[in-house]
Amino acid sequence: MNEQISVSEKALGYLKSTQPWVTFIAVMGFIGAAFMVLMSLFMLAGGALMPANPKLPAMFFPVFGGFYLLLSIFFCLIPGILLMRCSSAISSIPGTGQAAVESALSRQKSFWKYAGIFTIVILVFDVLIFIGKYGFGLFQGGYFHP
Amino acid sequence: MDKPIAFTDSMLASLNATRPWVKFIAIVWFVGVAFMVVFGLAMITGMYTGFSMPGFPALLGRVFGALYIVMALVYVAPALYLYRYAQAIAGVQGSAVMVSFEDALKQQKSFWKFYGIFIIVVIVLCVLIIVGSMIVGVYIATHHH
Repeated sequence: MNEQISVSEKALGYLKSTQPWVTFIAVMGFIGAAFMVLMSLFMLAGGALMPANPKLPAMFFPVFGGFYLLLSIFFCLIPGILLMRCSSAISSIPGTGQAAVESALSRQKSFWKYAGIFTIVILVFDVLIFIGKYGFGLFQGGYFHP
Repeated sequence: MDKPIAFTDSMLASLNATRPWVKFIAIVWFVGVAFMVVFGLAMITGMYTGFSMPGFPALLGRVFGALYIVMALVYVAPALYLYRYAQAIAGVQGSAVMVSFEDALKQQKSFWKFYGIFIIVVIVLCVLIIVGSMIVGVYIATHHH
């Protein structure tokens, strides 16, 4: 940027009005993470305490419990932390000024990069599940219906 | 603001690094919406045979199909905001720097506001469904002999 351009009041206004929503969604992410950890604990405890069900594979509860634990971290906790960091940078703009705007933009970049990589991972999993389902008949082939 | 805040190279770099990810997510989102519409139409027209089991009312399949299409329409909005956000970032150059920067932040704000309101609506619906099921349950238990 050769000539000096100032960030307009309007732009700062948009950032400020983004902040409460981002904070709210981050808090929802933390609450969601807490619920998922509980679900995961119930699954793991359920698997350990319940009498063996011959209709379910032995790994059913541990696999689903572990899945919920992973989901709580990667789908709720990490995005929540990234959004909270973004929100706190926006709140410090009035006192800190330029460095806070830079930090807010850099932190929202981190969030979107994470969201993009997460999307790629989910899409890859979808393709793998699709191949497993139709290519190898994992679900129809008797694994879940012994 | 006492001192004007300069629009720095660091801010531009962050925005440019955000753009491909936001654009990618918006495109995946649009594809997801398209899938939902196709799936919804298949359920409405009866082409989807997943529900065709004995005892399952055909009308319910159509209702699910219509719900899918309504959900798809709701999901278009955030994807559109993200796509516009990516487009606005591309315009942050030359003489239009601040106008595009404002537009980019506005689109991002709209995305988060939509998402926040969506979460509130979902939570309210969940509470209503739980309370509604309780009332219906109590009614059936006390009136059904």
